Formats: sequence, C-alpha cells, structure tokens
Amino acid sequence: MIVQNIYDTVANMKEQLQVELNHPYVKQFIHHPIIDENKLLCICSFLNGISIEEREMPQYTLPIMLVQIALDTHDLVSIQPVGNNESILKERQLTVLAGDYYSGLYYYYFSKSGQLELIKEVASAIKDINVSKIKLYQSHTTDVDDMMLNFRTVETALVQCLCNYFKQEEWKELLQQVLFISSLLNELRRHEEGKPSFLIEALQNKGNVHDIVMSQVKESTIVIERYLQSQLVLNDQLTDYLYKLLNKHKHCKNVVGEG
Amino acid sequence: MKLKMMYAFLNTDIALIEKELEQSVQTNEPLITEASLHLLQAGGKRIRPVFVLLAGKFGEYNIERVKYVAVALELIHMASLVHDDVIDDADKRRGKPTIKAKWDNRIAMYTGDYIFARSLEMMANIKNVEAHQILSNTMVQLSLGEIEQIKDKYNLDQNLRTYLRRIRRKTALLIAVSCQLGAIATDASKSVHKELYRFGYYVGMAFQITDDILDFTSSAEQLGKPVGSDLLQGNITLPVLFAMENPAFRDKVELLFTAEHKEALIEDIITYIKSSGAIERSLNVSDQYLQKAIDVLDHLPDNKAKKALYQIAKFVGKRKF
Repeated sequence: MIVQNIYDTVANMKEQLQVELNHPYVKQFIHHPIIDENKLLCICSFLNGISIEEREMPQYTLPIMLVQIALDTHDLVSIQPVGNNESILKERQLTVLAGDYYSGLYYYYFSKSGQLELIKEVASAIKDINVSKIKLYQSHTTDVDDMMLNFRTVETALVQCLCNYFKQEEWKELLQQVLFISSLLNELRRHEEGKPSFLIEALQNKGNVHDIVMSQVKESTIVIERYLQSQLVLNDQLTDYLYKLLNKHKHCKNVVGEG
Repeated sequence: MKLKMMYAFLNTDIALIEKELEQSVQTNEPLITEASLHLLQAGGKRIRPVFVLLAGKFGEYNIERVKYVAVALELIHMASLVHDDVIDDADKRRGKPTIKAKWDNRIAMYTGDYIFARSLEMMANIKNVEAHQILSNTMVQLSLGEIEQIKDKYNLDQNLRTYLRRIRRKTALLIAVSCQLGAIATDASKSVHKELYRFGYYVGMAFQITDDILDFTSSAEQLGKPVGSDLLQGNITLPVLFAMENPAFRDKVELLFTAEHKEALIEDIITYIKSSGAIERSLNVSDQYLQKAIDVLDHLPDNKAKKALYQIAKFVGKRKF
C-alpha cells in the first residue's frame, strides 16, 4: 500500500473535486465555486486520523464537500430584481442549477458506494443547516447565544454528521470548535473589508461586534488548546493549522487591545 | 372519465400520501413550514405518487413501504418547482404567488434545499442500493437537462432531437423512475420494473409535449400564467419547432425575442401556431409516445393497476389543462 501524507491527500481530493465541478457550460457564466480548504483539511485529517484507507477517502470526502459547495453556491443567488438584464438573469439561473447539480452529485456518490445511512445523516444535516440559515437571515432571534448556535449549525453540521456516522465524539468536538472559530474570524474579516455578512449585521445592535465574536472565539480556543495537549493523534498539517488559528485569534485580541 | 376516477381504488392510500406530505414539511421553523405548505396546498396533479402506487401494485404491495418512494418523489418535484420559480423569475404558480414572490429568492433557495433534503431522508428508508442509484442518477440528469434548457433558450437553431432530449431529462425521466421505483419498492421482478420504467418514460414524453401544446391552446385562467409564456421566456417547444419550418414565422419568433413590447407579437404568433398545423403535428408525436406506452402494458400482468395505467395514458393525450 502506498501511504500518502496528508498534504498529498488534501491536494488529491481537491483535484478530484475540481474535476467534478467542471461543467463546461456552467463555468462560462458563473464563478468557479470556491472549495473551502479548511473544511477539506478537517475532513481529510479526520478520516486519516481514524485510519480510513486512502482509496476509500473520496467516497466520504467528495460527497460531503459537494454538499458544502452546493449550499455555498445557493447562498450566492441574488435577491435583487433583474429587470430586463438577461445576462444577470442567466447568471442567477445557472447559479441555482449549478447548486442543484452539485446536490445531485452528492446523492449519486453516496448511492454509488451504497452508503444509505450516510445519505440519511447528511440529508438531516442539510435540513438543519437550511432551518438555521433562515433563522439567521430573518433575524428571528435577538438572543446572541441563539444566533451563534444557528451559525455553528450552518458551519459545522456536515462535518459533525460525518463524525457521528463513525461515532467519533472527540473529533466531533474538536472539529466543531475549529470550524466555528475559523468561520467566525472569516465573517469578521469580511465585515472589516466591507463585504456583506448577515451574522455580523445581525449582531450589530447587540453591542460591540468584535467583543461578542472574540468572547465566542475564546471559549472555543480553550477546547482546541486542550486537544492539542491530548492523546488524540493529529497530523502535522492540521496541527500547524490549529496553531495558526490560535495565533490569528491572539492577533485579533491584540488589535482590540491596542484599539 | 375524470383522472381521479381512474385510480379510485387507491383513494385511501393517496389520502395517506397527502397527509405524509404535509407532515414531512413540518419544522420548528414556521417560515419553512408555511412556505412549503403554501406550495403543497396550491394543488397539483400528484401524478408521480400515483404512478409510484400503481407500479407498486405489480409487486408485494405494502403502503407503509411504498409511501416513502411516493412522498420522496413528490417532494423532489416540489423542490424543483420552488427553484424553477427563481430560475424563471416567476411571480405566480397555479394562480398563486410563488415562494420567491411572497418572500424572496433567498427564502426560496433555502426552502427548496430543505424540501430536497427531506425527500432524500424519506427515500433513505428504502434499503435498496439499486433504487438509490437509479434515483440519484436521475437527479443529476434532471439538473443537466435544466442547464441544457437555459443553454438552448432563445436559440432558434434547434431540431427535434435537441427538443426530445431536453424534455426527456426535464420531465420523462422522473415519471419513468416513479414507475420503476414503485415496483422496486414492492420487490417486483426486474423485467416488470424495467417495463414500467419504459411505460413511464413514454407517458412522460407525451405529458410534456401535451404541456407544451397547452401553453398555446389553453386559456390564461386554466394555465395560471399567460398563454405562450414558454415562448416568451425563450423556450422553443415542439409546436414552435414545427411552425418554424416556415421561414417567415421563424423571423417573427426572432423578432419576438428581441422586441421590447412583446404583447402584440405573441398574439400574432399564437394565432399562426394554431392555424399552421403545428398543434396537430405535435399531438401526433404525443400520440405516438402514448401508443408505445400502451404497447408496453401488453407485457405486464393483468390487474387493476394496469387498467388504470392504460386509462391514464389515454387521458394524458386528451387532457385540456
């Protein structure tokens, strides 16, 4: 058996995903979908950590990432009226259909490998994610904890359901915190760059957004630090990423302190 | 005979499916429930669940098992309608405001994704890998068909082959697998579920051709949208393809696609399509598919379901809305 390191595994999965996403007509009209590399690293590290064979990696990684990309693609569907602008309408139409196509592919991959239980688990996670998205989008709650809970569901439910499937509680807790922090910091960065973020926008009348986000991040970093000291075997790339994430958090804290 | 009378012996089971459909969209998020029920209660023929149940009668029929397929297929159809309304920028469906019009595109996308996930959750109760492989392959084909439809919009250089390939993916495949999966869910033999797939495929093709004809021959009231709206959206359907054999008419369609005020032009176009023989020729193609569907039934064992399938095939060719 050829043992690949995690760098090669992630690169290989990314390459395979790009092949799947490469529909010639769709790519003419919409932006090539962005692959969330942090999520990909987390999934590959997890599967590697529980000793899934290299040749079995794609049958879990590809469908989960395709679902993620499908949902992310549908987030890009614009709400503005298009009037008579055919090119904007076409871009919107293909964005809807590209997401539907990636969704179909996830189901296709799971059924091809006969993983019926995972179809159910993932479908349930997709339901939860969309319920949480609507709650966040509609700002149904004014409670910060509730908002964070919904945001956490949106960002982590897919990876959580994979951990549930393999009954790996420790990995589940770790990856949930990792993805939660990285997404929160990402939203904060987007907001600071003047890009839309409905989480941050919803938080704005709840107090100092930076403080709210950083207090959430702090709680999660404690868990991550604990796992970095624990017996759970983490590969080098994931360990590096976790330290970078913790440093990023410290950097953000310093910026607040200096401000 | 009315459509519902043809399968009256399934009334109890259809009522159960209706109840299951309503229950399946109950969530702790009122907006998703409201939006889904809004679409569900707007009606619809429920033709896919009916095909699933009828096909199920060719095996060891058990409603508690076959219901998962019937509900899943109707939910897939519903999810695609919600997203289709975003694609078509449509404000009305079956005469009622669409989800995207009542709320917005974002809510429509999330609701559609929710309903699609719910359908797979239901379908996952069927522990048969082949059934999932058939359905998932169909899902991919459906999306590719829709992408193809967008690609072909406003394209006058189409032929019969491209049209048939498009409607195969758009409509016929889902009806075909409704029949096939109903039979698989009740453990009917392979030869039976394959014949049922063929039956569904031919009926589905005829169904879509009839829909495309009705877009010109029905009233706005019956359609719940303006007459000729497919063509107004750039979709070249079979009656238009036949009528475009006349170069002067082809020029008119080209003009319609670029015109700012389309109302007067579309009326003229509809009048020509109706008088050109294009409707009759399209009906003829539909009839050929229906005849093939009826021929397939000869290979299936005799039972009440077979009789109902025969009557439905006859009905599809004659329906007025």
